[in-house]
Amino acid sequence: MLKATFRYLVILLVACLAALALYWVVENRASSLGLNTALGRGGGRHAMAGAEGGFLEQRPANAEASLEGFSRMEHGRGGEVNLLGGLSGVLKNVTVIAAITLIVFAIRQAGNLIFQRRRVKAV
Amino acid sequence: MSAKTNLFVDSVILVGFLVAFEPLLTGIAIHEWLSLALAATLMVHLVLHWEWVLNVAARFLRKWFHESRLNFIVDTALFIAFVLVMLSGILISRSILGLLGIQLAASPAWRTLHSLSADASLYLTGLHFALHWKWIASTINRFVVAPLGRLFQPRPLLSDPLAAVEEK
Ligand code: HEM
Ligand code: HEM
Repeated sequence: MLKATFRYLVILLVACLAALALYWVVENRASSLGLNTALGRGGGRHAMAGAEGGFLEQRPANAEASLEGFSRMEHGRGGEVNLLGGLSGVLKNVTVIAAITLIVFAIRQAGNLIFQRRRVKAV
Repeated sequence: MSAKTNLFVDSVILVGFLVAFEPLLTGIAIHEWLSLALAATLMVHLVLHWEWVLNVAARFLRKWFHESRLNFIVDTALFIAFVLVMLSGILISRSILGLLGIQLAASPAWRTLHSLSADASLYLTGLHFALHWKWIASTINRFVVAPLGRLFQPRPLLSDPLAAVEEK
């Protein structure tokens, strides 16, 4: 019990240290990393319909130009749900994981085949 | 820890992750809370593999071309991607920070980073999943497919006295 608690604390500590380092890098070096600090990337991949736009309150005065994506988010309140869109997104992500699994499987099979042939030749 | 427990925790993480990845499915508030809960489940996952992490970390510099090295690199990248997606998520949060009455003036780049690190964590999870495919397939076979198969196998009716006599 004590051992497990200690392990959780170590993981939390490592995660917090990693988070601090990442926070420092992004807050201080975001522009040199090529990250768009003007105002994110508009509505994002999914363009959350109806998100409350917390960023709109924080936006710098000169950021109007990059607001096109946000206009989509200003409708409605509190992140509306789109069941069909969401489910098709989940399906897409499952497909991505399955595709990566297949590719890794194929690479492994090919590797096995090549190395086996070599071993047979060596004998 | 038993393979059954691992399979259960791994399944919860996978489903949780897939749902967390689609805020459109749940709405932002559930997305934020569910993702935070996922962080706790991921910690359980890591504690269940504690010995492995320590062993491989120790061996890392000694044995170069070993498959566990690839796993270690993928696992570390996955850990960093998850820390980044959680951190950026919290920094752009509306529901959780709103509830706590906190307003952050974090860089707008966090929003881009949330999206990018979420994508990275999806690809890395795919890789992590693929590298453990053998374990996943054999454990599902052992705890799900085989017991289900046994349910449908024809069994002699013990209550049938004639069958019992014939057997003798
Ligand atoms: C496993 C962890 C997480 C994953 C995989 C994830 C994934 C995502 C994805 C894919 C999006 C859509 C981004 C886009 O449209 O470009 C998103 C949006 C968002 N997430 Fe997360 N997220 C996670 C954790 C969190 C956490 C912990 C929070 C807050 C506490 C959070 C807050 C948000 C918010 C506020 C948005 C909407 C941003 C927007 O309007 O574009 N997320 N998340
Ligand atoms: C922060 C993210 C994660 C980290 C750091 C992580 C780390 C680890 C580690 C250290 C191991 C054992 C060593 C190894 O063989 O690689 C492992 C095993 C495993 N992980 Fe993850 N993992 C994460 C997320 C996930 C997710 C999202 C899934 C769900 C698909 C998952 C499924 C598995 C499976 C199936 C195994 C092997 C079977 C087992 O013994 O439980 N992991 N993970």
